[in-house]
Amino acid sequence: MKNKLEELYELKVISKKKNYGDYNCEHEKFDDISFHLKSNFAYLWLLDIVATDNHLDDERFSIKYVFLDVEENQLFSIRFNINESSEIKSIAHLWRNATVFEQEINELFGLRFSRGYTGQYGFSDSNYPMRKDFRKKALELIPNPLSKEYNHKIYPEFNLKRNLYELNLKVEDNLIQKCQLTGGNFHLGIEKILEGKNIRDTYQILESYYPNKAISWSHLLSTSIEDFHGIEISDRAQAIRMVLLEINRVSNHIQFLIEMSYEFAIDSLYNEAIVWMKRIQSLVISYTGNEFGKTCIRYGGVNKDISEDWFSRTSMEIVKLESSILQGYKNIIQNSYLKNTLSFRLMSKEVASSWSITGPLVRAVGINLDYRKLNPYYFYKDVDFEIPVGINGTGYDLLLVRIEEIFQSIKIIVQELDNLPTGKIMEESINSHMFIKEGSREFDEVEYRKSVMGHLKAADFDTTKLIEGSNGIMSISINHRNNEMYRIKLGTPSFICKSLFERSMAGCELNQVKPFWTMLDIDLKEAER
Amino acid sequence: MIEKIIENLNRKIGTITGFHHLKISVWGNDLLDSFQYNYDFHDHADSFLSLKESEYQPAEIILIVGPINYNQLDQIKKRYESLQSASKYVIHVKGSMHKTQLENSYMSVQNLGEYLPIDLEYEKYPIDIGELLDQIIDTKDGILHEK
Repeated sequence: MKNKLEELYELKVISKKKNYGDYNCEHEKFDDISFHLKSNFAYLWLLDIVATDNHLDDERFSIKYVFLDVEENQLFSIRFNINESSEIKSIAHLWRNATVFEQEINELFGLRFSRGYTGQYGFSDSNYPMRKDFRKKALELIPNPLSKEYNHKIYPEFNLKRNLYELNLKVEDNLIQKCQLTGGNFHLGIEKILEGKNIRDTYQILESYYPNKAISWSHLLSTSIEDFHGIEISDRAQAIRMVLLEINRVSNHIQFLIEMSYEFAIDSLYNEAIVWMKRIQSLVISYTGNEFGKTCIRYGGVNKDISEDWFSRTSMEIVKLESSILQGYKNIIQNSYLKNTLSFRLMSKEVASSWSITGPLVRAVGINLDYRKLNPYYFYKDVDFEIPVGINGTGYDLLLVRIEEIFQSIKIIVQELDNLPTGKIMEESINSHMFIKEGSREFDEVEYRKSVMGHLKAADFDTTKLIEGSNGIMSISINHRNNEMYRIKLGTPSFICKSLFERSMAGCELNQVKPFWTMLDIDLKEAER
Repeated sequence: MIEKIIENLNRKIGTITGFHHLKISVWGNDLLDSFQYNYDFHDHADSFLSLKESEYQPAEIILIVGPINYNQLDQIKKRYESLQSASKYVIHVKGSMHKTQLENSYMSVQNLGEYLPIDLEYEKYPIDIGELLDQIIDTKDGILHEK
């Protein structure tokens, strides 16, 4: 199908690999191409739209659309270049989540779309922050005041979140007419911060700013570099990465259970979930030295090998954890209060598809989409695990899907630890700087640092990588030039879910707002970036 | 003398039960990660979670964790001004990103001290929650003592 498209619209191939194709087209033709894609591919997810400011080029901006064909398992991107004055044809009528991406590009780059958007942070019309000629000193913020039509407010119960956001609602006869999240508190311009940084700093900043998903982000960054430079990592490193990624997934799901049980005041689950969390964290601490798994995954492999002690301890602990969670799971299914509270319907399959929703949310609705099965990286094709899928598409289904995923992740960890390959953990050429060269008598720290920094350099590349995170497919699009990040775009599921939540609340009853919001588990730090 | 002993006793009980009689208004981008995901957090969870500020119980302490942007700053300033308590304190935990990393950011507030009077700055990250709570109590005690 895609070969036909290549011929039909004269797409220029920028790079083509087994599961990823990057194409270039003319701006005028993109409208037809997008229509063709939507009408011919039944399950085509729009994962991201990435704008880049190539300020030295004639056609200054490049817009890249990242698609995932769920049926044929193909990831591909189509891009075109435009001038500052051109108007871009919106594709929001084909993929509804495009509104979110287009709105952001409109606000941060100042590019015009055929659909009108209003900004939420209030940047002035002449100085757009993500452009290369942005003048920081001239920054003026004129936030839009909240409309007076909102007559009801909901605050989070959890004290730590209390001041960070509020849900503004327009309610009539107990039915919600309109919903808006007071946002903007978490927007820090993390993508701008990362611009101009080298690879080492990028690792550090991403891991410190998103500690709870440090493993996923460092993995995404590593695979982007490895894939483009053809670095093959050892089997042992692959297995260790898989174990870490699954531990990260378990820990994020347990954190969700902690928050959810607090919001719904289920003390027994809250207390149990804390114990599970501490067990998992103690394993991560004893392996990496911190509870988030930072500084562990680096390009070329992993930094630290699994010791015999850790191996035996983890194998034992993980089985205990499984039986403990199983007991908690039995308690949850007996809890009729929870079942009644979460009996609301999340969304239809059509809505999930048109919004390109991923992760546990789409699986709870009944669509079997998991990137680990779709494009099995590392040993995911060899391990035995199942993808839990919801039947009724209710909030309760979403809860059960998340809990079942914890069991499946534990299953993967056990299998990986049982069949842990032998060998090196870091690719030889990258690891060589760790050893003192023959003939040098003393350890020269300056030389050593130079050597380390030298190995952290990478050639220019432009790529997009995906990973199945705990909340959905996470993506990273990197444009690396002259040994620094020229443009880096972080794609997170929370970004789409936030907007979907606001729109899907219209017509719901007031008592559904809080359970729905809690179940989506939206990380605002990731959503606003 | 007896007052001192009772005060110490109260504090001891506070440390054990996690209840310090301080109403804290919490802000900042690193708040959730640094507390919720902290290994020690759940030992001190009650200290934070049970001490909600509300209309009837205005906060005495504003705790800012990590970088904040200008939107948040406006809200914190408004909250600070609206606090009726004569003794109000601002505690700033520097958080995950240091100043040089934030230089490129157009939205982060670089020098918080210019906008709000900061009574305590805590630089250690990841946060040692027990230590932070002790410092909060000491700061409050110290200022109360001066009065």
